[in-house]
Amino acid sequence: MAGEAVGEVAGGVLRSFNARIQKIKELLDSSDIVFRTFRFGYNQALRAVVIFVDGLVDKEIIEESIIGPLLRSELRKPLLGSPIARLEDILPAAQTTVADDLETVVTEVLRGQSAVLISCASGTLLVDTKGWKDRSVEQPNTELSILGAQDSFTETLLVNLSLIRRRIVSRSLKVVTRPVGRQTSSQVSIVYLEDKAPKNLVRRIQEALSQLDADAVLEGQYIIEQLEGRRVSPFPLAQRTDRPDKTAASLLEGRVAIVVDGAPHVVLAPATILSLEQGAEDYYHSAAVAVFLRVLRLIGVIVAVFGPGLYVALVSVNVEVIPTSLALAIAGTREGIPYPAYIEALFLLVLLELLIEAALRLPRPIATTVTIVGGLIIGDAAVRANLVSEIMIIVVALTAIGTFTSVSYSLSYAWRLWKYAVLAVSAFLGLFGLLTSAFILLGYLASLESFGVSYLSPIAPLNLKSLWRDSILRQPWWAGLSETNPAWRDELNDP
Amino acid sequence: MIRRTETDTLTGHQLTTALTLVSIGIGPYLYPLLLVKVLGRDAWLMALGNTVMVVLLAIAIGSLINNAREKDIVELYTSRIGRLVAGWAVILVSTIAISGLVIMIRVFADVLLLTQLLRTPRWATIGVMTISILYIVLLGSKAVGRVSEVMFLATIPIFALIIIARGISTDFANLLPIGEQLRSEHTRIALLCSFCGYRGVEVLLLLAPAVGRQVNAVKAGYKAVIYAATLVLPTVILPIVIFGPEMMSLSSFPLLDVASTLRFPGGPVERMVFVVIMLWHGLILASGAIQYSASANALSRLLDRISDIKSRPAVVLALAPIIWVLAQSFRNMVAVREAFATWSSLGGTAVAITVALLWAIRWMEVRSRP
Repeated sequence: MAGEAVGEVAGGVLRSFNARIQKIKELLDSSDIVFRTFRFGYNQALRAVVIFVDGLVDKEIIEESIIGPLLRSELRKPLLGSPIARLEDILPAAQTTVADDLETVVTEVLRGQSAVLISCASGTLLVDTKGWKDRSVEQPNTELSILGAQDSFTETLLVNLSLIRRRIVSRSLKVVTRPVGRQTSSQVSIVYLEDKAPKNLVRRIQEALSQLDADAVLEGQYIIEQLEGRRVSPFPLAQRTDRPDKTAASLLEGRVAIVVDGAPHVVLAPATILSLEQGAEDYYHSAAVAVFLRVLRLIGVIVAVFGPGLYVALVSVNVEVIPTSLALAIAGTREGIPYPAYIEALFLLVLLELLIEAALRLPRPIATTVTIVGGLIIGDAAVRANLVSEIMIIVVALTAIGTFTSVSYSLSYAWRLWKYAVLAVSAFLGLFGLLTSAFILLGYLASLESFGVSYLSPIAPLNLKSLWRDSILRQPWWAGLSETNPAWRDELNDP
Repeated sequence: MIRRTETDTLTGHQLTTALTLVSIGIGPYLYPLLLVKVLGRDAWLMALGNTVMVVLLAIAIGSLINNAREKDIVELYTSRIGRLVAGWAVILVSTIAISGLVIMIRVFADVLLLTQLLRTPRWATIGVMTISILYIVLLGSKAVGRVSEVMFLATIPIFALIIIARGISTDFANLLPIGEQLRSEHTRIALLCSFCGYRGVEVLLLLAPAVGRQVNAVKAGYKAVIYAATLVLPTVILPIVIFGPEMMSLSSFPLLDVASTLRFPGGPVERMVFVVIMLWHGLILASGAIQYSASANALSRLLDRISDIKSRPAVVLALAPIIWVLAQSFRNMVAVREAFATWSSLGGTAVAITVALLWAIRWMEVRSRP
């Protein structure tokens, strides 16, 4: 009787085993899915199937940690029907989990895990065998630093998390990972320091992520735009960085990092206009140098946004403001140019934008050639052809240089866009238009909030302590900079 | 979630900066001339005396806000003086603020017409100013508060620097002898004129709904008046000592004339007057946004109470064409000056009476409590 019962159970499990494999085959009907079947155990009486995605796994791990140990094992039939969890004792793999539902099995196989099914046990064992080819840790691309760390994030979530962990060896560093995106099911991690990050900020981000309803999340920008709500702003309301050192420093300030698997950037929240303009390099120099660099960048941004507008306003509307000798000199260089100053400026600025875009898309050696051809030859030819004046070339060149002093790549685009609005208003209304556009820009920035924090913090609302400690100014480390409590924490009502 | 500003709350510093900017948005440009025409060399004494009055009024309004149980000006008026009278009181105070804004915009449009935009029609400059202020106000009170903070930092130091730069090389002995002009026949007019310095204080009353419970409105108002007085007083004194009262009374904008006497050899700007005009522009836009926002808030709350509709954007939008049309309605500069004088005196008096009335009722309430 007992033997019959065991036979029935065995038959049931086996039927279930075959049915499960059949079902998984239906669900994973793709040529890159491998179903590796083999016999093992006492008298080779048992069957096992290892399911994985070719290219997403390390086959050596599968051989050494799954197939090898199973082949060497002497598993017998009396263990029939026992939970598959018992296999964990046989397999020396680093990380194993037991999954009962096929949906989980399929999702995890697609993420690079291997599913192990054996004929004598119910359930499925998932073994972490991830091992795809990925980019190694390289130098940062968007935020270069001379003295700072030379590593940057890659497209692999675990690598990125490890780069952060290496810098913050603390129990309070928390990582909460969840899949986001109906189609992509991308792994998104929220990283924060439990004793530093304001609880309501963490809760707000977690809630926002859990409510995020998107088909796909392939990059940090997907998340940022979904969290921004129904608005289109050229200004980035969260910071993106490819620098682990900057991320670690932000976490220590109490900010929250959002790491998306597959994205080489980390999203930092909240972001303020001043935090976006703070470079990693600022903290590798003395406080005096850091302040100098920040002021320089600020001047660069002002030149980039208002330079062409100011020039056009002074040349075509308010000539009487500048010294007479300078006005005469400018008039001399513009002699013979058939177009008004704003057309001149617009022509050169658009040319510059085209050059930048071309240089970004082309391979580096060709990009250099294009830049030289565009910048020098076309510029020179335009002056000779009396299309633009020499002084306008200087103004536009200064504008370009000013734009690229901006630390945040995303923010530099916003400045580039605003420059046209300023130019348009200044061309018709002179200094009055320039100031009006500056005022509207200020109002717009004042209306922006990043996760409940004013974009203009700590200038508005004014927090003198923060302004003095780390904004445009920067305190020395010995004055307690590492224990900075940023102004935005007050705005979130966090102690 | 990242979101647009939604709440109305201002910080104490924002309240201070808003009041300061409103106080100096127009006062330094028209106020000195008004006083000098009546009091001559001693005009600055009345400006000084007026500062004390404004401080007292600011303290009175501030403590009224801080001690009131009501959450906004409409409730405050309604509970004190009844619904009907409250409605008219809110409209009156809002009208005073909006009138100030209209005069400011018109005066500045005329200055632009004379100095910078000779060929641009007046309606266009008034329109641009109205639209830019409207845009900021539509963004919400919080944004207006933040703008006033930044504008305070951006304009006040330059303003102070210009005053100091010109003040250093000025012979203040020209103010002597002190008190000679203060004769009895002038005193009555002078006292009336001293109300002219009320500029801005009514905004404290209108901003009440935006002031959070944690903000000390008395302190904010007091600080603002001190800041404003520190800047306004030199703007009365400097033209007197530089040009003398007779010459000064012939000038359209004495402060701009003072600025035009400044020279920075080798500097990038040949005529400092343009810097002062730009500064004034910044002040007008910021203080205009504050006055506009404060009035729109109070009026929309009044409407909300009557119709139970959230009407702030509608009120804000409805006020814009009114401001634009009114700013163009003055015949000429003389008419604007007359309007300023009338508005200052009547507006100041009306605000003082309103505050006194509210305080009297409060005092009776406290006394009648068991």
